[in-house]
Amino acid sequence: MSLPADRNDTDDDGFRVSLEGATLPDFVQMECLANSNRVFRITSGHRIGYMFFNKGQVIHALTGDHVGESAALEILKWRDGSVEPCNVGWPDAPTIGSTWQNLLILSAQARDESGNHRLVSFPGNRNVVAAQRATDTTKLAKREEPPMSAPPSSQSLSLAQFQAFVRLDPAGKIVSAKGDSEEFAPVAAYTARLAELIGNLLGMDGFGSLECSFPKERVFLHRERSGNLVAIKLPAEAEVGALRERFGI
Amino acid sequence: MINPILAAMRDVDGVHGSFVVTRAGALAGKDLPAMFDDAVLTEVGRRIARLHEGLCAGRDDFDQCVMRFADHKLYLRSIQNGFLCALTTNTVNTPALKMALTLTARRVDPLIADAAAGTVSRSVPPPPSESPPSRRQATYRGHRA
Repeated sequence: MSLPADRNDTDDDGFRVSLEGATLPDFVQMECLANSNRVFRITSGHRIGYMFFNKGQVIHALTGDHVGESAALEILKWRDGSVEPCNVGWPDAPTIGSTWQNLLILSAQARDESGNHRLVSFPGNRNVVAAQRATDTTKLAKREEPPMSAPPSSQSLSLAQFQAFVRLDPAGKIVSAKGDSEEFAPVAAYTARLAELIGNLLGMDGFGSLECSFPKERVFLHRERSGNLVAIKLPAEAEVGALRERFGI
Repeated sequence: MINPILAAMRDVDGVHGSFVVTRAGALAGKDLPAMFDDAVLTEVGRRIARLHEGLCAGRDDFDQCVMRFADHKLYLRSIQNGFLCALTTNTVNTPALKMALTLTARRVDPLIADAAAGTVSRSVPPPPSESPPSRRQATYRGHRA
């Protein structure tokens, strides 16, 4: 699945709205129902996150510590702050496979389980959310438009399975990370550089990805179109079909 | 000895050629078009050794490493005495290639040390010396003179 490299869909047309008392789930619901294709910066205190909407789905999210679904769920926990559209680089591929409905349900469940349930929906949408909660969540777990070439099981790969994850900008600065990034980031950056040099010597430009298989783990590196380097370490037994497809390996 | 074995790798559709480097990065054999000369592959070998060193710092040796570029892939298969490297298109038949790598690695591995000595002697000019050349240096294209 490809995404436009950059979009400037922050239309000048329309109202600028400031809503007191609205929650992030309300906002996500509105954007998704409007088939939004935009990126939003969410600020809550000192925390900043980004949510990427494409064709009415949340396809990517980013916080200081998380990427993908876990980042979206973290953002949805935030109780106050501000939301504004922004222009940041889109990911090469979606990092969230769940539907927006499922994200909201998971978020609501997390709040229920933490004993701090304060989810407030717009009056007209309460029934929708309630009905969705009653639905078997496994049916909503994935979108009904999987890539034909990827087996269903390979789509279940999530950040939780990664032993380590790090995204570095072209200057080597850590943009986001999970796990032991202090040890992993230098290895990833050095390996990617050597791979590029090896490619240059052999007349092969455009280093894209690397997969390295160890007896107990696998390491993936991927150079994004933005120039950022994504590095992932996961157990050898993890299903990696989706990652390979995404990274073209 | 190694080069004819490597030629079998090209039976797999999409394989441009292959080469072998020692653990230290010295070129031990190649089956590649002439544009990839020994000097280039020696440099590549050194960087492969460094890449291996960096990736494997503090952990087990890797089994295989694949690098994808715009139009090509480079496969590295780690073997006891070095690395078997295959240069392929991006659309190479991966299972067939893996099988070919396994079989070729098995045959090439015992020959690496001797071949590397021969290759190095012919790809890197020996330093000027007044002493008579050693027996190991008396080789031409991998064959004892």
